[in-house]
Amino acid sequence: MIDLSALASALSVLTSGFDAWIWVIPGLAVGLVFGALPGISITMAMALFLPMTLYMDFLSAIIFLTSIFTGAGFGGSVPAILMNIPGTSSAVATTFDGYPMARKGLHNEALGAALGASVVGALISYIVLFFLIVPLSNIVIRMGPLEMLGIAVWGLLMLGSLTGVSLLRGMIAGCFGVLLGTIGMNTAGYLRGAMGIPELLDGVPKVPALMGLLAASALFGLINSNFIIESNSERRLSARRMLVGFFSILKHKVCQLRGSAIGIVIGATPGVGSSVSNLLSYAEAKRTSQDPSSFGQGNIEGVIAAESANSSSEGGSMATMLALGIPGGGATAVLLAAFAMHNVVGGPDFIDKSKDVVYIIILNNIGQCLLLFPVGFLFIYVTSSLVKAPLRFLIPVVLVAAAFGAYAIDGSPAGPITLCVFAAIGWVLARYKYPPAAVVVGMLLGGLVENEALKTMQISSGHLGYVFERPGAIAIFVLIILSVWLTARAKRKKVIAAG
Amino acid sequence: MPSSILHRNSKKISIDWGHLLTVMAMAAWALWYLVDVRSVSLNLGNTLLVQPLTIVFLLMLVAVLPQVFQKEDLPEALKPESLDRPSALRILGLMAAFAIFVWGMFAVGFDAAVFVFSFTVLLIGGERRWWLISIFATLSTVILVKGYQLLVPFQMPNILLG
Repeated sequence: MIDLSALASALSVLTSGFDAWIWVIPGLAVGLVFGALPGISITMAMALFLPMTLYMDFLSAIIFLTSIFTGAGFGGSVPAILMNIPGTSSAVATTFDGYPMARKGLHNEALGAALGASVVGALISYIVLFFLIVPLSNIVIRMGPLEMLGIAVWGLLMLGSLTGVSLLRGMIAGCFGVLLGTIGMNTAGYLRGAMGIPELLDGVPKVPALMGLLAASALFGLINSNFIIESNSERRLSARRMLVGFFSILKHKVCQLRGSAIGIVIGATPGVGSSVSNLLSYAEAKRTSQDPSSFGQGNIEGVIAAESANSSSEGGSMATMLALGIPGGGATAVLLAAFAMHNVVGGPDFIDKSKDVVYIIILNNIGQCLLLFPVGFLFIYVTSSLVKAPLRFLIPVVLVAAAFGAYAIDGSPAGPITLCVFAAIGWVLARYKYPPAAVVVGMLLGGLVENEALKTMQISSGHLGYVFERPGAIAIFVLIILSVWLTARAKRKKVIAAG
Repeated sequence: MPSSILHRNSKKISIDWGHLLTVMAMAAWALWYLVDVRSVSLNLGNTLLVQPLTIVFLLMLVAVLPQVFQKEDLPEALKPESLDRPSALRILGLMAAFAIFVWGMFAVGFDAAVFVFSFTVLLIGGERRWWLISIFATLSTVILVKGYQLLVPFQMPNILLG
């Protein structure tokens, strides 16, 4: 499985000088800052620095870009925890418990736990990648629309865990989100609900909509408060408490490992990636928890589940990119562009002929994960001082940054207008206890469910027997049924125990 | 079951008008969406998910209606937080300021829109030191506009900041 001579060659390159490491810390710092800026996606951060890598040699360029990838993957969790802003869809589930923790004065622990889960999650994913890059890519290439439909349905089941105080209102919010997610042109070429607005051809812009629903709407409500954390004593920054949060992943090992496993598999699946893995991992953490009712109220396991999955998706998507030459998402597409700029083509040939380079990239990424701990720790210590800023100063800056970030997606007014409309909708829904988070999950998965269902229907010509030709899909659906049955059984036992 | 009828009759009807408006708005949009989807095509490729889901969504909205008419009888967790008049006005003011800011970004200029928005939000938030408001609005305008100009590859129309 491991080519020892290629490994020895990779190790000699990595240990013979600083050339392979010199771009790691600048890359991590760039990624952390850009990842923390609302609306600036990981892809955008990497694309902005892509032209600069033209003047670097191939390895330095890839190492710099993957360092940005690693840094930005964690950077997004900082605004998610401190301000309820998921800068990218990968950090949506981090807001569910991270922000309530911050509001309770547990921001130090939440940020520390997010960093710990990210460092360890990414580390696990690269170690798995190191040993299983070829078998993993062989599994991924066999995934078709039916398997993707299974994953999307699994994600939708999460709506059940986001219902908040009322199951009915939670399901209404989820359905509303799924319907919003189907606006625009579907795979079959039918255009619905666009109201003649050309910007809605591709559907409602998702990132501005989720920023509006989760963040801007919460900021409207905060105008009547003085600080994110009202108690003066709880606003303190504490490196010790951040470290306690960091090492809390040791207390929640199962949650961390499960999140990492989900992240690796889902991250490796092209077109799905970290935006779905963080939701699935959160749903599974809540389903298996001894105290599921504490999720959404500031349970540290929620933060660990979300962050371990979105960070380990990085290794998964790198597996698909390196082994198959298929970009799993925007960030790996930029990496493939960097490959092309240096006349290198990713894929099976690349793995076969340049194993030493592949090992250098993987081992360097393991090093990046380890370096993310000190660099990320410094970063969260500095940025967490945001909780000390009075909200009347913070609100206009954050809302403007969110609007500019929404504009930065495609340079049209559609982004800021979507942000504004969904901010108002989010505030109204939250006021009447329809959880905006369920709308977001519905929106993210609605289009995916419909499109994969349509593709499956087209491929199978509507014959149900097609399911039996797809063992992978059967395995996913069995897992879903098993997961629902186990949840129901656990709830029943709890009811019986309570008398 | 006379007792249950009596019990039901004795329940006071208290309407949450804001909630009613929210439910009606969602129902109106869903109905319009269903009609729009069906007007495009009745092919399964178009209606597969949307049609059954819209119907389920409308049924759930009908199911939530009794809660709208029994505002006082709802558990505390389902009642909206009470807002006094100044607090409600501050929230509405912030929403209006944000909408005007988004409009102003493209109609007037990003810099002018940010300056006016920052100035207004500080006033809404209760800040009364004019010198501080002016300095903060100016600084935030310059830093945010110039910072994002460096990052964003698209034109950002401005009045003063180029």
